Amino acid sequence: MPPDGKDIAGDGVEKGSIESRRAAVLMAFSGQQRTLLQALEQKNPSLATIYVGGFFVLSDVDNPDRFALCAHSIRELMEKIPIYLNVSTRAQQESLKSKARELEDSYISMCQRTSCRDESVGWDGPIDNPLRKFLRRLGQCLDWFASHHPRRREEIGGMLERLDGSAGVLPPPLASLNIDAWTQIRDFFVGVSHHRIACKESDIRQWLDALERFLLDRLVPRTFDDFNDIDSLLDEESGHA
Amino acid sequence: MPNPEQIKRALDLIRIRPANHEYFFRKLSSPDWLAPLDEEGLFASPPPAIREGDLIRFPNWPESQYLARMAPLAPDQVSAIMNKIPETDNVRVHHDLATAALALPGPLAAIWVRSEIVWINQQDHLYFLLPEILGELIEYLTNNDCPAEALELARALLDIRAANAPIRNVHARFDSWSYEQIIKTRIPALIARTGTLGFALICDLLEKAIHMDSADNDEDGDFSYIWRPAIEAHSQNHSFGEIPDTLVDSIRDNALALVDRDANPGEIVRLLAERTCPIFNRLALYVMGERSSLLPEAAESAATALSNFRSVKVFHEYIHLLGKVFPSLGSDSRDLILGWIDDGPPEDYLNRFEPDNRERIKAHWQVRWLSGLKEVLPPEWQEKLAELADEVGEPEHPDFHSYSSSWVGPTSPLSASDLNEMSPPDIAAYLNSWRPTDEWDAPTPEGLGRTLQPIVCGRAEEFVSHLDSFKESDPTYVRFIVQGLADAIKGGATVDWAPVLSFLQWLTRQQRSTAETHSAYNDRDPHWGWSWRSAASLISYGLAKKLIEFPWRNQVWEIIQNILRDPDPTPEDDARFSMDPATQSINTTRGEAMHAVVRYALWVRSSLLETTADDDQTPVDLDSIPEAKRQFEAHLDLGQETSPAIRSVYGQWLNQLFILDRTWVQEQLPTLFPNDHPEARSAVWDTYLTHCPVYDEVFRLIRSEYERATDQLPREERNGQSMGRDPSVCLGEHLLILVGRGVLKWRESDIVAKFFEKAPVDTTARCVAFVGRSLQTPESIPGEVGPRLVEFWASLRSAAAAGPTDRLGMLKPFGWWFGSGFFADDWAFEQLLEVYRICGSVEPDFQVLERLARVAADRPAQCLSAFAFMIRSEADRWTYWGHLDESRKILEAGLTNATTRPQAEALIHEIGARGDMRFRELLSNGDEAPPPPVGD
Repeated sequence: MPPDGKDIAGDGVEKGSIESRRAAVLMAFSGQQRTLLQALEQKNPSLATIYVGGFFVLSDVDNPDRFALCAHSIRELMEKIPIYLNVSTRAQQESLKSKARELEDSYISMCQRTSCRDESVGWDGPIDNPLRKFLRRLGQCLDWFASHHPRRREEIGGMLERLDGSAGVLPPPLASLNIDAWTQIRDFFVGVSHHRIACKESDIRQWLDALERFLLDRLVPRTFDDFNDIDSLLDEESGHA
Repeated sequence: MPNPEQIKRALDLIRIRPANHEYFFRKLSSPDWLAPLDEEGLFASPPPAIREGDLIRFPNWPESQYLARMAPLAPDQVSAIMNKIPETDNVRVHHDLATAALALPGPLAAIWVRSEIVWINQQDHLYFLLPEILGELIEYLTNNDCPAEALELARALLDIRAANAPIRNVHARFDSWSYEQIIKTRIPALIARTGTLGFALICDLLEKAIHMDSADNDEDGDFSYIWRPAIEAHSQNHSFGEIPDTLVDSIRDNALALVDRDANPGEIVRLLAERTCPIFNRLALYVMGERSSLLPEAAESAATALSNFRSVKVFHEYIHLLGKVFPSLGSDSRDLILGWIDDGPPEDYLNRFEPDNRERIKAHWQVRWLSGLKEVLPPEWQEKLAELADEVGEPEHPDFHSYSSSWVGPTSPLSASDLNEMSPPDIAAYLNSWRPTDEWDAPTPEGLGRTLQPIVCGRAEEFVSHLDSFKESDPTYVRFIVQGLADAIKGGATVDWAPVLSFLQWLTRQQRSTAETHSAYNDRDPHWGWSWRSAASLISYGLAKKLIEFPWRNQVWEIIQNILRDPDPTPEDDARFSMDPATQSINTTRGEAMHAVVRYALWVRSSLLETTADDDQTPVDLDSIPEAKRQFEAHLDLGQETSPAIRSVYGQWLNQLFILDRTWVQEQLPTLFPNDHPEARSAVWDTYLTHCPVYDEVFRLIRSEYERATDQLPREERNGQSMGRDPSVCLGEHLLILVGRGVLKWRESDIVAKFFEKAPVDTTARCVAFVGRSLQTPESIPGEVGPRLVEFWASLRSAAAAGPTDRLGMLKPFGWWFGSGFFADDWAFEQLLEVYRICGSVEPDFQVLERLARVAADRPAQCLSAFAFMIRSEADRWTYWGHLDESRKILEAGLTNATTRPQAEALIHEIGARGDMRFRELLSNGDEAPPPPVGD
């Protein structure tokens, strides 16, 4: 180590700098990770940055919270993919907020005018006009929510369809398996990022591998390799293997 | 049977992408997978039909295709799964399941069919080939001990409903052609097996069709005698495969088959006759007539029924029945029928006519009956028929109330061979003596003229020497004679122009209107104007080809000048016709004459130049041709000539007028392009743009007009202009040609920049495409054009990038430029990839693909990059599909090169992910490379 604390790597990159650490992270990437990085860059450079960022903190062995921070990056990556693929998601939260505010105003107004609410008894008696009006409005609001805000599984299903890019659609039982797999990976990273799941680095790397494979299967298809695997499986089952 | 680990592996593989799922099911050849896949719920979700606007798509379901394949191997398992599948609106799934049912034992197929019948009854329409396979299933169930289900399936499948049409308004759930095929090929077996039950089904359908069609009913029943003149196959049945006709055919044929086979043939006739619509009585009469030996009593009873004799609606079949059974009837019956004929029509019928006409009407009526029975009448009645026929004539088709025939015209009273055997004077004499009748389908002068024209063409020399013989002829014939001569001359015949010009002089000296009167059908020229137009066209051709010798100058000019007097086109014509002025100019007499004036002036100029001595410096301009100059100026005067068609002639010939007299054109510019008369200006300017190539000198002379047109560019595309050509596009094309020649450059605020900044995107894109198309033969283009176009392209790209996003669209036709191979590959690829990057697609995609295939071996990486853009582009993603060879060349070239192999492999896998397996075998050539590396 030189006296000034700096180490110049053979390639001229100053050791300890952001660039040198990034280079070190990339150098440690497997072929699978490099391919995914390239695919993410093609989709959107921001996605690639988040992905590399996860490894960046994971490689920082001096940081005692590196697993949670890495998991946070990966969770972020999984959250952002739908947005960069233009898949409709909870991006409409703003309008949900305004709807909730409108409902709140109606509720307050209704409480002031209804005879069905008594400070001591609470809600009682037959429905009167202000309450009827509010209930109608509540129903309309819930209908709006149901049609404009797909459930999380529907959201994920839509995102995975876009991710595939082949314009085909999987049958629901198979699409459901994919949603399960995606959710399982996401739940792991959310759990780690929130410190609800304690894990080792090998666990993190194992789940990262699962995510990478999942994404690569869709972003960089190796269709005919899969077909070969299918052929082998069918041969094996029929005893021709 | 696959084990749990294999099932999990299979699920893990097929859930990756739809292509895997489809491939897996396509490869399955064993029923062992049925149970485990069923347990995983894979047969529980058939994909629904996809509706997009007015379109509907039915996705394949590999699961149902697998079931169809496995049905013969594991019928019980397949049947159990089929009956659990939820209802779907996807007809492809129904088709697969029907295919599976065809391989099941009859009773198992019948179980599925019961639920299918419920579904069919809920459908408005059955798409694709589903009706055909369900028809096959009817026959299959019939032959496999399930006739009841077959009958019910047929009832559901063949059911009809009312359509919203003015006549014959019934339809089935599918097209009438398929309906007819099923009725013809599947129903006979069903009826043979179920007898009167099946027969009643098709009778019910016909009855329903008739009752459903309000236009086909009155209080006396249907009008089948109109829409179905004969029960037997007959040319008078003008059927186009309508359902009622199909059902009539089927009832007729199946009734005969049942009568032949049945122990009680009278039952079939009874079943028909008991229905109330006359069509069933007609069918019964027909069957009795055809099988009178099997049904003698029923036939005699029907023959002697006065209600049949009196019914107009069953006349055709009744008279045919009589014709067949009359000889075998008892004498009382024969006398009865002949007595009815002798009595004549009912009084209430006769009373509709004037008393004086009634005897004649009765004679007509009797002769119709007797003619229909001519072959079987006793001798004394034969005599009566002969007497009546002498009196009122004998009908050609006595067994039909009305008989339709067709005619194509106009026709000639003499055939071409008859005319060809006559000398021109004899033909002239015939033309003068023959008079058309006023009947609608009789020969007309137009028909005779059309027959005469090719005769004149074939014997032009002979006709030329006898042209004077035709000076007494009708204008119609004269027109065809002139056109015949023109055809001959255009075909290369040599004629003596002296008598031709003399004849045309006589022709054009005639008073325009004629004394002949016209009737509705005699189809002749209303005046001499049409002949004059033919004369102008003939003269124009002779001048253009310099077939007419110069000494005839005065005679030629007199002819042209005479024709120029013609009022066609009138201002009313200009307002009435929607064609553009240039097109109108060649379809009007004065317009054709104006074209002849230009031809004349060019002919005179050329002839004068040939005769001028080499040292003579006197210019040959319009002052040398004052007669033409006067006409040019007269017809430019908006006070005298308002027709845009005539003005368009100046636009069409502007370059030639420039050659004739540059100074005159310069002086006439304000008149040619008047500021205060946009329509008059546009007639010249638009025609010039759309019809003329651009000459540098002419451009310089009228540059201000180009600038004005650029300033006044319409914001939106114009349609329907000048034979479909948009003058704005032609303006851009002229400018780009001048750029290529180096006359113009893209300079800020100058004409080219203004055009590409102002014109609609589609217009500019068409201009860019025009340049690319012009480069398709690069060897014929001077080398200096390339750098000028490269410079232009750079400016265009900058302008597109600086404007609103939609302006980028004008770069898309770069595909023409790239495909031409005219530019250096480095530059062309750089631009191509950039256009893909910023526009998403390039036009035309096929040009790009073909060029990529040509250069793939030398530039595999760039070709793969462009190919990748193409297959990922929303607009072009399926272009490669129809260009298998080109796509293969590009991919093969990429695979051959170690550096580009990973990219080529990735593209092959990507295409495979869409379900396209055609490039799979390319991957087996050589070792696969590792996954593509990340660039540093």
